[in-house]
Amino acid sequence: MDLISNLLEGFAAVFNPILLLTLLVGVLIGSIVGVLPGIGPVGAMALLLPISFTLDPAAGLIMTSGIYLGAQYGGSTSAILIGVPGEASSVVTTLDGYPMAKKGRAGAALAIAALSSFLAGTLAVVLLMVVAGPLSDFATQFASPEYLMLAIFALVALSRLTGGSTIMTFAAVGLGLILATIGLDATSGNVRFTFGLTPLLQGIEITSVAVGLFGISEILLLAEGRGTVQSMPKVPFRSLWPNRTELRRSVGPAFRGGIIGFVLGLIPGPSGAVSSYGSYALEKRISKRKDEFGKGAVEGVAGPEAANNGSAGGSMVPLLVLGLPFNGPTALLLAGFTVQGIIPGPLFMENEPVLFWTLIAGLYAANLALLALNLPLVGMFTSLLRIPRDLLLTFVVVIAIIGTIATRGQLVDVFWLLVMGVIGYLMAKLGISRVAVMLAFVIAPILESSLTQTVSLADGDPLYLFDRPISTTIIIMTALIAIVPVVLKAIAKKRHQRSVLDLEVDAS
Amino acid sequence: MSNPQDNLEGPATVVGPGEEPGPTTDTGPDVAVWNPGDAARIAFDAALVAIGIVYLVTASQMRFINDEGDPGAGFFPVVSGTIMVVFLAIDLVRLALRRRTDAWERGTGHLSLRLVAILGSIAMYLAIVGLLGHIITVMILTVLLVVLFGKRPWWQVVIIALAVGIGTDLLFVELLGLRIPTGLFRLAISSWI
Repeated sequence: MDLISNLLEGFAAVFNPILLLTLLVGVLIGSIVGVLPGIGPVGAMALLLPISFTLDPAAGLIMTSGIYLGAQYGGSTSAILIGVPGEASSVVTTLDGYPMAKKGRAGAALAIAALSSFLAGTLAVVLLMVVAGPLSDFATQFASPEYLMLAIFALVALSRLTGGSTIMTFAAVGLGLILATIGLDATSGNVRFTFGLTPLLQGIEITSVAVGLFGISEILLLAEGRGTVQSMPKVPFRSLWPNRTELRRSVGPAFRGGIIGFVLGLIPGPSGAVSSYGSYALEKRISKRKDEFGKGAVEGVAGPEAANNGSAGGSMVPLLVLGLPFNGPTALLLAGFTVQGIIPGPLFMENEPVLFWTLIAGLYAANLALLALNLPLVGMFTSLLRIPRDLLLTFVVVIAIIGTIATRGQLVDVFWLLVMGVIGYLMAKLGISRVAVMLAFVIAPILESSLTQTVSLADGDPLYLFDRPISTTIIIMTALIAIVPVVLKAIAKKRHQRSVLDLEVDAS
Repeated sequence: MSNPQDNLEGPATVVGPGEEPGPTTDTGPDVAVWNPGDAARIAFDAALVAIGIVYLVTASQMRFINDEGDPGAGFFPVVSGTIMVVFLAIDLVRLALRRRTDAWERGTGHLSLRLVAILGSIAMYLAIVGLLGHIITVMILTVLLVVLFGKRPWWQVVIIALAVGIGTDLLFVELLGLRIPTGLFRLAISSWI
């Protein structure tokens, strides 16, 4: 009963003109960015983060969350209509969404994506409400050793889940950590790595890192390529309704996708993309119509789209309950919290109940806004794909510079934007995780304080971490996530070698 | 060279894995896309190792353990720098061993001069915005970028530059109240008025 009354209070707070306006602006901008291939949710959130700092905490955080959810949803529009995913987690949607559009069912595919996202979003908000309280109570038992191990767990899991080289993901983590140590050290009061340069005293701003890594680098990648969209199917408003069979076939996958997304959202890494792949694989495995997958199966749109949105809700749990971001977008949300002077964590619900429940209600309202806005405005969103490329890229560069400089009005931030843009471009080209740099940069202060406190508390005892049951559990989880994939890979390799040998024996 | 990260964490700039790509047309300038090989990876790793070593040397001059026996200001930097340098060194060794095998990847294409020009335009903004202020600098930046990204008649470029300069000033400075350098030029006008 408490949950419902708290949520109603949250809704009462959300339904004021300023918050509703910022929510709608966030959702709209997110959808626009999601539709346009190139910028992605992290880049969009980073670009608009400085603007959110000028708003009050609730409005700023709701706008940033709206951008996140909008970008997750918007990516599916271009994936379905033209087979070009607007962002990484919509790649799977192209597999069946685009074939559906080619069969003349574009409107139905868009509606199924919207309804599934809404269903998963609702489910995620309910699950978030239910688990946040008990998890917060549990997390009050966490001290610096547990936070240290959780941060290490997040970084190890990230290195395993982002794909690419694990070695280079750890090197990227190291880079993120060293960037975060530049400037005044809040713990010891010492000035570090400024080399006598005053502009470095305040350290590197998160906006420069995020916009450089994900905004400028993407512009450089886009500037290399070619191609603008010439034509796309027209989607009249009347066609935006799936038939009864399509609706019936979507419910189960959307529900399962929502749960998969929420659960994977709790785990560090690119949960949106991973959960959409996971949901697609599950639906294909359990479907009676396996042959339809890849040719326009409704389940192939409903499941991944729901998983994608569910993961956004799930990833809010570690952020709000533990104060630790497990992926790129929540790392930026944490930066938003920090600038507003709010510390998410086990006591967040207790210390800031109004803000917590306003944020939860805001997430739900964002899902409603996405459903209400995106289907009627689908024509407008797709027409954005026809914006001349030179104007789009120019505008993004200008916004990136303004967004960066506006955070604290210092030109040195544009310098870092440039540096991080070059590093981000090279990392993308070389297949090295850029999220690892950003995540490490954001959690570095937590990692440093928990590491130094743990070393002090341990007082030279190397087994200190194993004396604490929760930290021991996290150590075991970290070891498992580090070792199990290696073992599984070795087994698969051995099996493959054995089958090749068998074939050679049969042939001879 | 494939980029496994692009599918998992970054924005998707690739054509979707549908049966056929979406209806696109080539209207952009002809640019050879650069695919860096392992040599570029070695250069990247080596540059970061060099930065890491300078960082570690500087960190080692800070106190690793303070008077109370607790970790000092240099403790975390030493740990962070070591993580980066050690993993980069492992990657360098791995690449060096691969050099003699078939797995060695050669780069193709070349780094586009256009990318250097884009970065140069941003550096130009950084260099002159303090003097000329946001409006004029962003107009110059817009002209440079529009010319770099496409082909338009000069009068269109001028109109776009004026719109971006004045529009962003109205939106971000006047409406949203963000702090953007006004420059000596605008200060001079203000004092004259």
